[in-house]
Amino acid sequence: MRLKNPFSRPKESSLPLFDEAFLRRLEKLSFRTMPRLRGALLGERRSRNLRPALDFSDHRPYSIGDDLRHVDWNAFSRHEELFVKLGEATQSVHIHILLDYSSSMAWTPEHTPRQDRPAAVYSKWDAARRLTGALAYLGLAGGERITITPFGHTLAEGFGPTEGKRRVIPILKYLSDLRPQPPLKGGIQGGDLTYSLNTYARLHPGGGVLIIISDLFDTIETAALNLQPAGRKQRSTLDQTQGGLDEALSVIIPPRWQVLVLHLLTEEEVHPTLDGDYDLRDTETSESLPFQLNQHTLAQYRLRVRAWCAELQSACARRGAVYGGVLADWPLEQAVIPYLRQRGMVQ
Amino acid sequence: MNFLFPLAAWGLLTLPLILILHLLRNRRQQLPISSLRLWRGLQQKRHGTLPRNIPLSLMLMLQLLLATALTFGLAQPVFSFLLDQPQQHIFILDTTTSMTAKDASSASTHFDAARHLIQQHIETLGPQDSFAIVSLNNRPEILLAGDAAQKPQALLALENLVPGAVGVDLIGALNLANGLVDPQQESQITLLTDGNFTLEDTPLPVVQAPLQWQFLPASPPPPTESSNQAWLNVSARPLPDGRQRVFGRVVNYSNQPATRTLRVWADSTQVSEKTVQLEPQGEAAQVWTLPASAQTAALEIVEPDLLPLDNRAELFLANTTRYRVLLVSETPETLNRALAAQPGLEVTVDPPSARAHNPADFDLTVFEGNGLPPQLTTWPGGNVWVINPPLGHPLLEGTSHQRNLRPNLTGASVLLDGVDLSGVYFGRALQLALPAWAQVDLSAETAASVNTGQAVNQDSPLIFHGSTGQSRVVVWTFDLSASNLPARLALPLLTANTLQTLLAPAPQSVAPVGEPVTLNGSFSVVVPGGNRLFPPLEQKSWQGQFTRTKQPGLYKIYNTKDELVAGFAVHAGSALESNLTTRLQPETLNVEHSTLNVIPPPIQYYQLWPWLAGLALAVIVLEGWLAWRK
Repeated sequence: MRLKNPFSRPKESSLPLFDEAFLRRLEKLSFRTMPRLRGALLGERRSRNLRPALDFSDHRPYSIGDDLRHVDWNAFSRHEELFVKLGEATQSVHIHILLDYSSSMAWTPEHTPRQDRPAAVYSKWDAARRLTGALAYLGLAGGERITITPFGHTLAEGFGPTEGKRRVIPILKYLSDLRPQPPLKGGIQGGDLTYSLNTYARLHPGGGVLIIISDLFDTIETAALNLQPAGRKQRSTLDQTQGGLDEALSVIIPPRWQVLVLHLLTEEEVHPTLDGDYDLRDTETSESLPFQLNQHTLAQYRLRVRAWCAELQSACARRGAVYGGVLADWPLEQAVIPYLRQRGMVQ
Repeated sequence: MNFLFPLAAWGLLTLPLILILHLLRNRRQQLPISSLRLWRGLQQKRHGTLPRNIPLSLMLMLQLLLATALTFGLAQPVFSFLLDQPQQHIFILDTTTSMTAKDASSASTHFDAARHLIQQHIETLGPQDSFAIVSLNNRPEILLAGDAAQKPQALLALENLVPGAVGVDLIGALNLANGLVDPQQESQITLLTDGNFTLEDTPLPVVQAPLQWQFLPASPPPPTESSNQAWLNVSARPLPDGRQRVFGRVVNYSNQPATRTLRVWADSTQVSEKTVQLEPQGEAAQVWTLPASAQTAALEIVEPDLLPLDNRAELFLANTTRYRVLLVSETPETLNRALAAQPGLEVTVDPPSARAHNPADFDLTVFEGNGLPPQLTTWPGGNVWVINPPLGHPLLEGTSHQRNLRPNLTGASVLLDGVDLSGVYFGRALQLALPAWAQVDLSAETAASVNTGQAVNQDSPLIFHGSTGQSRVVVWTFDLSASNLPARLALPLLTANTLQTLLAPAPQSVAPVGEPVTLNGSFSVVVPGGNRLFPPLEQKSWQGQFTRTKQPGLYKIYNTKDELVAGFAVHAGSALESNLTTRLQPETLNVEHSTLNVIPPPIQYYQLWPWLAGLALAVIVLEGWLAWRK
């Protein structure tokens, strides 16, 4: 008989999601975006585009409508042709943060963790909100425009677009008040990334930096899986996984979009420590399946997770996106931010 | 370790019940996970919702321990070996003739099967164990008793046991076995029988040990297969011309008709063979006339059946009983005539002056008148008959002779039965003091003397008898020559009665198997098979009863000179034993006959149930504490 651990960590952490010292340290960081990325003018980020300027570095022939103040009259005196002086343009990048708020993101392990594994300080949902808040603050501090949109089965009403550091408090309050999507009835899966990205791309044709924070479970298509022969199940699962994310990212393509996929999982999801007979119940669909979990079964599961993550990374590479696997147990400042810096997402 | 209430072992069924309850209660734990999509490929086909592994837990262990402790406590385990409790097994072995019957499917008899069971038990006796075997027949007795030290002798004696008896005395056998029960031992009584008897309404006695009925064979054959034919009432009667007429009934104890071949043998010559048709449970009376020269006869049913012993019956045809009588007398004529008229006597006359024979060689020594040696100071061994003893003999101290006496018939003993002494007078009789060992059979009445006119004492004995030392003595105090008794029929009758008092009667000509036969004197018996037995020497408490008659056939009795003096036949056929269709069915044994008459043995065991009850209580307290703590 397996007893419930009375000392298990409560689902909602009592720790504050954000603290001021941490946010202040984030001010020193900024997003590293692709120069070709188009954004709004009058920003602080250098653009690959040139525009007429007093401090020029290049010329182009004059065309009707150009401001005569930017005509290089010295060049006209030498060459008797009108040239317009061109200088570097600055812009602000629109950063879109898509936060998965499906039920699976709110899952916390109920069973007793392994003895050699410390209990996580923040849950997966807390870690996702902290990560979202940190990235939003990073963008606001860098003068970018921020839009936060939760998505589950469909897109939800989000926050933004907004810009300016003074908007950070409303953003953090919004994140603190944000609750995960309740489980849907009728066995409907909680998230649909492909549909959400399609919709989002239509709503934001200007593009920008798109940060997807999700456990990406909805990229595993299982409808066809159940029809496959038993011996081909595992391979079919991986194929569908690749197709799911690949298909979803097909509408978010460079150079209009610079995509960062933050795959957020918990340690217990990657390396489960269960042992015994269980009815595993999906938090999104409430579907239950009986399992006799042992070392052999768990080893198969871990291999599957590893292959799944590798395929996600491969799909991201094919679509020009950056994949970052993040564990919710990682400390944000000591692990997540250096991890993003290592992948060139922040500087 | 034994259990006083082994039925409580059914309580062990609670163990799987507890496991089932735990399995039902501990259904597979519902565990929410973030998504099942990665698990689907690992899904295992399972039937039902119960986990395969028994959910081991402290509570389950405690409950199993509690159920086990309570079950064993209810079963009342006892450690008898702690008290070095020896075991005693008492077998009541059916030794009737029907136990020699064979099964249709086996060559061994029921008695052999019973003997094998007892042998197996004896061979497994522990050092402290003991056993006893009581016969179940019409005269129950202890056949064997011993312990492990006497194992070889017991096995040998058991091998030599021979069944043969008619009827059973179950109550007597149970009483005998009950008397053997040792209260200091753990006793068990096992009754081994073929059930060929009926239980009367009389309740069986209460025995002090568990009684187990064991039927041989365990499953009786159907009555239609219990076919047995037997000779009954086989006898012979001499005809006036000396020939012998032999009579016998052949009975068909079967529910099927039977055709049987009957053969008759005179000595070793077959004189007749015939075939008879026998109805189910029917019989046929047969008569044969055998020649006068035949000494023995044998009747035989040729076809074999389940009980072979009663298929043959033998008879002695000639009266072979002979008693040797030594007559020591100066005038033996009168008495010799009287003795000669008695059947089966061989009289030898010795004059007192020239004695040539030793009284020890005779069954009876008769001293008449001065034939009683005056130097004889002790009575010779054996049977002694003294007639008209001389005056002044040291063994019979007479004071004088009395004359003209008449018998006083009012106080006559059984020795005078059938003897008419009316008108008999005794002209002269010795008046003597009655010895202490003697009993008066006939005394004289008061009468006036014809010659002297003296009155005589009414208590003057005329005939008395008694036993002194190794001698049995009858004394006639009167003179035969001075009496009118020799002219009366009363003399041979009185002589016959006197001989019957002194000499044992001739043995019966036919005895049922197992029945004792009265034999007296010094003799030997040749039993069927040729073995010669010396009963007075072999049997410690010989009281004239020859009991080794378990084998049917002819028993020949020889005197000390190895002369055939008598014989009798033992027949196995009887209505009780030969009828194998009336078997007591085990299912008809009611409780009254089997278990209710058992009193628990008063053995002081080391009871373990209080400890087990204490353990159960401790487990309950521990479970309660754990539940409260949880």
